[in-house]
This record gives sequence, structure tokens and C-alpha cells, in this order.
Amino acid sequence: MTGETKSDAAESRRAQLLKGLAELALLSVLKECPHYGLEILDRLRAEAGLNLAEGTIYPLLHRLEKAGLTKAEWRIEEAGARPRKYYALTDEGRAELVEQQAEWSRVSASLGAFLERGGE
Amino acid sequence: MTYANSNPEVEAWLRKLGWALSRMPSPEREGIVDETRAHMYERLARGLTPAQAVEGFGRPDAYARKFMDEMDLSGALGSQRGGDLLGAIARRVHRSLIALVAFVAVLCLFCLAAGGAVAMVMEVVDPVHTGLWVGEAGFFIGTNDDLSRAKDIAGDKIYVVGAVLIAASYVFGRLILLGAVRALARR
Repeated sequence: MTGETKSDAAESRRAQLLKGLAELALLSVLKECPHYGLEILDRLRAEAGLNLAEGTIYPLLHRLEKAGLTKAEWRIEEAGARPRKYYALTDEGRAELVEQQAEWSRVSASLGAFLERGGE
Repeated sequence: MTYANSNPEVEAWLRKLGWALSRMPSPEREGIVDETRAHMYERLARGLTPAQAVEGFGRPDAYARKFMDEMDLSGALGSQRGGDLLGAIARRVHRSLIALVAFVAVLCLFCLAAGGAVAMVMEVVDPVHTGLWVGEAGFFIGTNDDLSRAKDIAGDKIYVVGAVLIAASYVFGRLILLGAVRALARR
């Protein structure tokens, strides 16, 4: 296996692992205040370390909006600026975030303990 | 929405996205295109080239498919009609193992139900050679030309057997389709 192939395989494993966490991280970003798509993507990349592709965020936002977990509105912040679509959590979205966060804490704690176990 | 300082490369990509989303209701389609446009122009304003801005989203048809897939699956789950569920599964057979397995299972159940229906009709036409047979080859339902090789265990209850097969195939087929569409929607 060449160095490049090893690096591709590691990247693929990482992508698979992070894909499932994107929804939880996205809901968490929206917990504080409404954000627009690009802002959410940049925060997930910079703060959560999720290396999401540019075109990944909107299908996810679309799905969450359809599921009633988020609500969206178009805003024009300055005269002449392009409008941006802002997303905010609904009550249902907040409840879902609490549930997903609890599930993640449970899974990560038990998996962490399993992976860090002694040399049996 | 178009602007005086529009970029031809970005606009061409967005036009293709609009075409690829043409099966989607107009307000939803325009919302997706407008949001993608806002994103790309903000990237351009931050210094990306038009080629880099569109490259991040991949091919417009592949990007559109992410939305269409979601619409297709949620539409099928919303209506819960057998045709919609089967259509959503059939369109994914070539790219999803879950869809392939569900489709093959439903096809087998359809053949079983068809066998039951044919046996019910044949019982009217040729009752002597029609039945639920047990022989060296195992169980089978339908017509049997060689009565010495198998025994009919249903007798005149073949109508009941046929109706049960059809009803059970419908119920299990529907459960399989619903389960598969739900599993695909969660992915």
C-alpha cells in the first residue's frame, strides 16, 4: 500500500465516521441562534473538525426542515446584499438535539472505554 | 433571482441544477437554487474562483439527486401507497443493497401471490389437476399433470389457500417495502 493510498483510506474511514455526526453537530450549532448555510458549514469545519464537502450541508438542512426540526426564513441584512436563508431550531428540533446528545454521550463513553481497555 | 454582477460559469451550473430539479415543485426548486446561488456568490466574494465555487458542489445532476432522493422517499412514506413505495425502491435497485434485497423479496412474494391467483382460476377450469401438491419435489401450488407423483393436500380448500397466499404476500410485501424505504430515508 503506498503512502497516498493509505492516506486516501484513512480519509474515507474518517468521512464515514463523521457523516453520522453531522446532523448532531448541525443541530448543536443552531442551539445558540439562527445561522445561514455557509456560516453553519464554516463553523462545523472550523470548530467541530467535520471536514464536510461544500454540497453536503444543504441537503441535510433541507431534510431537517422537512422533518420539522428546523424552520427557515430569508433575510436581507444590508441594502443591496444578497438574501440569506437563516435556519433556527424548532421546539421539536431542541428535543431531538437533547436526545441525540444523550445518545452520543452514552455511545462515546462506552466505545471509548472499550477501545481503551487493557491488553486482554 | 439574478443580479447585475452575475457570473456566467456559476449561472450555467445553477441553470443545470434547476433542470435536474425539474420534478420538484417550483417554490421548493427555486428555494434550493437561490440558496445555492447565495452560497456560491459569497464564496466568490471571499476570493474563490468560479471554478472552485462550483467544484465544491460537484456535478449539478448529482447534487440535485440528493434532494430528489429525499423528496422521493419522504413522498413514498407520506402516501404509504404500494405503488409509490415500490417505485421508490425500484429506482434505487442499481445503487443500494437494501433496495435490491427488498425488491427481490417483493418479487418473490408477487410470484407466490400470482401462483395463488392462477391456482384459484385453474381450480374452476381443471379441478382434478389443480391443487396444493406434496411430492418428491416438495410443495407446489398449481396444476399437476402426473397425479401419481404428488398428492393434493388442499382439495376443495384451494380457494382458501390461494386467498391466504395473496393476502399474506400483500401484507409481507408492504411491510418489506415500508421497512426498506424507512431504512433508506434514515441514511
